[in-house]
Amino acid sequence: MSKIDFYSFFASPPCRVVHTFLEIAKIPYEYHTIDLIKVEQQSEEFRKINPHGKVPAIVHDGFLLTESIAIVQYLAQKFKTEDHWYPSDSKKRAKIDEYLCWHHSNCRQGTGVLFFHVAIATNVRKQPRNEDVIKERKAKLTDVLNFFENYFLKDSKFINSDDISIADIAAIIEFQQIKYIGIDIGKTRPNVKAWRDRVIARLGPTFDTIHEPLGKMTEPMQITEDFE
Amino acid sequence: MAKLQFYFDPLSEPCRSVQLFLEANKIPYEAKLTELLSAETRTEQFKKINPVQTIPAIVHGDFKMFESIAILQYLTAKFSTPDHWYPTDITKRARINEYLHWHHMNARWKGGLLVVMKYIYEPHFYKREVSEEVKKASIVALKSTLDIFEKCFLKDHKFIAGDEISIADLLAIGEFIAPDIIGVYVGKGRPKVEAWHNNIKKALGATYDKAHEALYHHMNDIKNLVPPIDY
Repeated sequence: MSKIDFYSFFASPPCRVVHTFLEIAKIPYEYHTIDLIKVEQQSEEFRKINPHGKVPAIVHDGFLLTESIAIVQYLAQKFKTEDHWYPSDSKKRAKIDEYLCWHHSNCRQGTGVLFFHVAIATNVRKQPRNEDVIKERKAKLTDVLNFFENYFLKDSKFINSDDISIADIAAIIEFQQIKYIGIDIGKTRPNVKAWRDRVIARLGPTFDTIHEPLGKMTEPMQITEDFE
Repeated sequence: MAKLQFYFDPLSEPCRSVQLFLEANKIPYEAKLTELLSAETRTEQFKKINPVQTIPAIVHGDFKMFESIAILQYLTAKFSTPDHWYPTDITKRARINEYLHWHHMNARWKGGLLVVMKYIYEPHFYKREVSEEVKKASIVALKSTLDIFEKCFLKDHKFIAGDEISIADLLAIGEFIAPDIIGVYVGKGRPKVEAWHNNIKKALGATYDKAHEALYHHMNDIKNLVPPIDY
């Protein structure tokens, strides 16, 4: 099987999800940077490879695929990675898929948009703080973390499972993003705290390496956002 | 195998998608009507079925789950339905998964439901002020979503995945057909979308009509609330 051509940018959480899985599952790939700040995803050159004009994207033996979760599902199956990443048992898989669906309009909505308004809109684009949106997104984040604490992690060490899966990678990447604006998701939620520490330990040095550029970008901003 | 319990409201787009699948594959189920407009998902009793209090939800023996797309994926595996619904070939499946994940924040949240919410439910059922600007923006969002749907997913195919119907089509049509009841038909000016809709109706036959009965009945309930919409 040939290696994966992986089109990505460090600042995009869905890109980091795919990147983390490629590394942890030791899938051979070549990283192609598509700079979103320079809007390279809209360039004619990139659109020839990917008419969707989005990252992440992979090309594998001529097969183009977008959507980070669809990509990791494909990689897990195509490269026959360890079963726990995306179990073949229908009920175990269903509970991972349940999270991966809920993730889009919940987890991502409580983290990515919040990060954008606090770090990018205010600090990079120098726009006035939109307090209404920030308050609304923090309320969403509260709901999301409460569901994690009381449902997804209630009876299991990982999301709906006793072992780490692609659901945990998708979630941890979103939550790690808001660490860079000073939010500690485990501050008042012991299940969440234990899960976060467990997942990061399991992903090992790969996790830190993949987050280095994001750390460098946000460190000068020195943001400590209030959140319980 | 225990009989499936299906918690749903036929006015809910994701519920209709699962109902279409159950009916098309003749999967026996116990219908548990859970009405959204009567807040039946907010009861303590329903919270025991689904802690996140959304529909659709299923109970299958001692197994419970929610999220329409995940439910459909589970049903294809558990009931060994014909392969075209969700192919086992990894590459064909990936192409459908690509649509399924795009669906959430696009067809679902910037599609037909947004238009119905802004024109009907928010002003008349939830008693919220909705400006003309926001209403018109919902139509713009729907059109933009349809543009991407046609260009990146439907293309020149009969169905999203190619020549045969799959769970992707059931989910997409659920969302895109919703505003038909207020006179916004997504096939207008879009012959490929109209053809795709007709392909789905043909493939599902009477099953399609049965699953949409409640929706079109509801059209009568709200017809006096519908303003003229430029679409």
